[in-house]
Amino acid sequence: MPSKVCHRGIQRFLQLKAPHVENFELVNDEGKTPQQLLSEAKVLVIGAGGLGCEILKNLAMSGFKDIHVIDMDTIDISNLNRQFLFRKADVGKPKAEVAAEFIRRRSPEVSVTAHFKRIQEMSEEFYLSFTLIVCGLDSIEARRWINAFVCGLVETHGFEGFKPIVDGGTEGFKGNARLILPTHSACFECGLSMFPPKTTYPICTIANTPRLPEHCIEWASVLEWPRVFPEKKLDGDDPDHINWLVEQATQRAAPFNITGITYSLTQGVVKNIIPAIASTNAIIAAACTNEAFKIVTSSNPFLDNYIFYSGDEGIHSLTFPLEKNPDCLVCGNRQGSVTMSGDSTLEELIDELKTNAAFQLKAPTLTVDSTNLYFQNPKELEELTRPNLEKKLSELFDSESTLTVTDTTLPTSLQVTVTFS
Amino acid sequence: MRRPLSVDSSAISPDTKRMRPETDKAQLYDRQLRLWHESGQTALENAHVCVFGSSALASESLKNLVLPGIGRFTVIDDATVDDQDVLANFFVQHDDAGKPRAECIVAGLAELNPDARGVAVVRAPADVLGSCESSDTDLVSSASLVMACGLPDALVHDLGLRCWQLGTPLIVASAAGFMASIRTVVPEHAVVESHADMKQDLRLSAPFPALLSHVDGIDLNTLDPTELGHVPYAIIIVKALQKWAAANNLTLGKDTIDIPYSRIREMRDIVRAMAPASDEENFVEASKNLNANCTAYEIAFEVLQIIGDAAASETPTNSGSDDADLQASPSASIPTDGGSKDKFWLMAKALRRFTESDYAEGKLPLSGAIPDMKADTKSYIALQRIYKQKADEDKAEFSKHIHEILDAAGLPQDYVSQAEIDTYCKNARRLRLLRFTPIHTELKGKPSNIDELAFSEALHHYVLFRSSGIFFEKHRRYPGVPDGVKHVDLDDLVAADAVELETIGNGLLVSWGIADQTVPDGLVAEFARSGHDELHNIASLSGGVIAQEAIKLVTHQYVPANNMCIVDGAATKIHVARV
Repeated sequence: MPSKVCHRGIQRFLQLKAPHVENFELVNDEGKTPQQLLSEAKVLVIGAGGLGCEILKNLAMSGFKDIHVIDMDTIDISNLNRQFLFRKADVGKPKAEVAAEFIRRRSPEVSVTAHFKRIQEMSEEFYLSFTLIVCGLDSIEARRWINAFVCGLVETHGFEGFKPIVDGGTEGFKGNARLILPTHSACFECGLSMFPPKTTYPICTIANTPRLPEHCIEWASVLEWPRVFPEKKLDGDDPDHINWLVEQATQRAAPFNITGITYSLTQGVVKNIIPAIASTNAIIAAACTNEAFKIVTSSNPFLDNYIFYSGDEGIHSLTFPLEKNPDCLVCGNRQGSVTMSGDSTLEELIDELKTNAAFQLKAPTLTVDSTNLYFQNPKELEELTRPNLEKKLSELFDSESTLTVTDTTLPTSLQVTVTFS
Repeated sequence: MRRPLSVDSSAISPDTKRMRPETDKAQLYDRQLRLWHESGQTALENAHVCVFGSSALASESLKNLVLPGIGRFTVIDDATVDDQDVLANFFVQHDDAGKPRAECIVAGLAELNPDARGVAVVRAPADVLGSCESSDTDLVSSASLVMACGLPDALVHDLGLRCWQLGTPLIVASAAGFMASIRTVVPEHAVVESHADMKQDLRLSAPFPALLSHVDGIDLNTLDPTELGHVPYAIIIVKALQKWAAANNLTLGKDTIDIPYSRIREMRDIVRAMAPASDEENFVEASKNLNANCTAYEIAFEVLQIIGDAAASETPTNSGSDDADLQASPSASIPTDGGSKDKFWLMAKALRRFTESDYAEGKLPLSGAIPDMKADTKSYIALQRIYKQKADEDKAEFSKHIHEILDAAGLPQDYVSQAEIDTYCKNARRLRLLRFTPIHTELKGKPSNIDELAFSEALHHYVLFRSSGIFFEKHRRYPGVPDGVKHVDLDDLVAADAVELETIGNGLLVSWGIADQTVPDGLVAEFARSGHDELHNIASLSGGVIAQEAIKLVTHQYVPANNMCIVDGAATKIHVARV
């Protein structure tokens, strides 16, 4: 029977003594063998995209038997150069469902459950039911959210809420994989400043002094689109929308002698597209699932705690322990601080919270001592607090006040002390 | 699937059809075209990859080449699918048991991309290799890249020799449990579009005449504060350099080409004094960019090596290598057409003549690209044009040299196209040339770079892969694998084989003159424990590395690793070394 369960090569590592594991035991404290632990482990895969497809395949081929996958996205034609569980006929269908179905068909002995949902929609009980979580997300925002949520589970549920996260990310020929042991090792938020905030172009450059084709594209998408189509949301995947932008941007650029506006560049700027290839996904996803396998089976020591890979110029790779950040907004003392002139406006403070590498918030809502400074929504509260945006900070609160900040990127609020320079 | 527009569609240009993303292909490959562009994609689509072996290592590597659209792939293996393959190799199916494995993975892979044409050759690799030497139209010579996945050393030797003679890139990979080794072999690999990150080349400390007269045409004193806040930082830096030179009785361009770091502070003060306000963005940019722009002009050593190479000299020899070890062994001589007709080398020769000319004064052709600078549109575009014009002049000068060289070689003027000249000049600063060491000589003797290898973290892994190969040659089974005849306890077998593996490994170290090191017990035990079986995760990770390297070799873009990569999934480390 066991030979049918997983590959001979895996069996050897479940049965033979591990030379690199201290106090290696063939059964654990609860009397379970590595084989049992592997078969019984319940793994949540977040993301069924480039990394997710690889992660699902690898887990199924490594002897895991109970896999869940969650993704809110549907399949696009541009996914097919790497997301190998999808075919042209699947375009438009939910990624999680198509991927799960593919794995079930290929490996009927593995149970794969799909959730065509946003991660924020799932309950605490849902997340508590897993042994570990493997993340293959391209969005920093989603990675921050799940990291903060899972770190929070330890606080509310103690050991029962302790869920290791294996997280991977790629860009072009580069990528990284890391193991997060919530509250024990550096969490995603601790290393946030390693991700530079998205390139933004100042509005005044876009409006007055364009120099690059990107400036003209931003002019078309940020200024012209909402002016011409106030009721319609710009869809970066709609070729008609992108073509309209290409045309506007080209007209904008011509009198300035700015060249180089193409469909591809326009879509890249509008959607903030990051290059992605199958081979890099394979490297990073396998690094992640290899850690998942080691954690569950204790067949080798697990990653401490970060590996970086770059194939641009030769191969460069580094494995190192990323330090916990004592001021981490999620697993540290959660004290953010900002120093600004008291003459700055509230709007400038909000911009700082968006662009400062330590925060990188998306749409922060601010209160101080139960006074509403600014609310992003509901609409009524936004309108009510909007006049504050133009006010000076010194008019709104004293120096060294502690503001409570909530944002869609984080499941809980954070405290930010503002000191006037 | 596209939703029709809900509002007046006449607001959308009537000829959007014409501007739709050119083809399905542009959409399908969008995320990779942003890395290697049309030129790389064409190279990939014209490539034929020939793979010996059909295990998970082979199919996972191929998956990452079929998806981005490799033109053709051939899988050579006579293995049949067993119940273990179904568990380890994603591209065989449950009902494939008993069928030829090469055929099964080709069918599974072909599904991923209808543009990639796959062929299975159900013959033993040894058989195919044996017939290679007798035929010129064999599989290996028709391939643009060859991969060997899990072949025994004897076959790697023969394949290595054959590929070396043909000048065809070869990637040799094998995996043993948590460990894998990936080795690239090709006599010579030249890269024009290396995409290497380079310092900006603005030549501000020694401005070329057109730049200088452009700067002199701008009088900062006549500008109002708003206009002053929109002067590109390149111009501010040249102005500051002029002031600094005048104050110190120095000549711009002659005495300012390499300003010591200690004196750049003085320049920073000058920039600050010129600014209308201390936080004026363009002046802050100027301050930040002083260091990068006040040091001496330098040609990267990789490029110096290329233009200094025998193959770029006035009397190119057939072999571009000056490595005594390689010259000593006749079978290892470099068989590529080194100097005579190779476009890379013809242009390298032109590049050398260009830099040596009075015109260029030791510099490479200017690329013409400038970074964004806070500026008004007119000033920025004017500056951009100055650099573009200089780049065009340099290119014209370079073209003269290449055309003379073509003439002298009796080659037509269009032997090198204008587009190729454009790309070469644009990337002159980041050219790369890699020379690898042969594997056939290594397997019969020693690694070619023992001194380097001795200090590498990959040494012990490499030794153990070699030792496993030697163990196999002796016992016809890998360490830790039961022979299937007599029943043995697996723990005992692994322990016994580990002892022999260690002896072989330490013997190799002694014979290579690295007697001060021994292979660590833990690593030996880890190799013996693996039974040389592939773990899917490690096969998949290695398949990613192999495919990245293959893409770089086939497209001649980005820079392949020279020459071995070790994947250690136990320690989660990836090492690179030269053997």
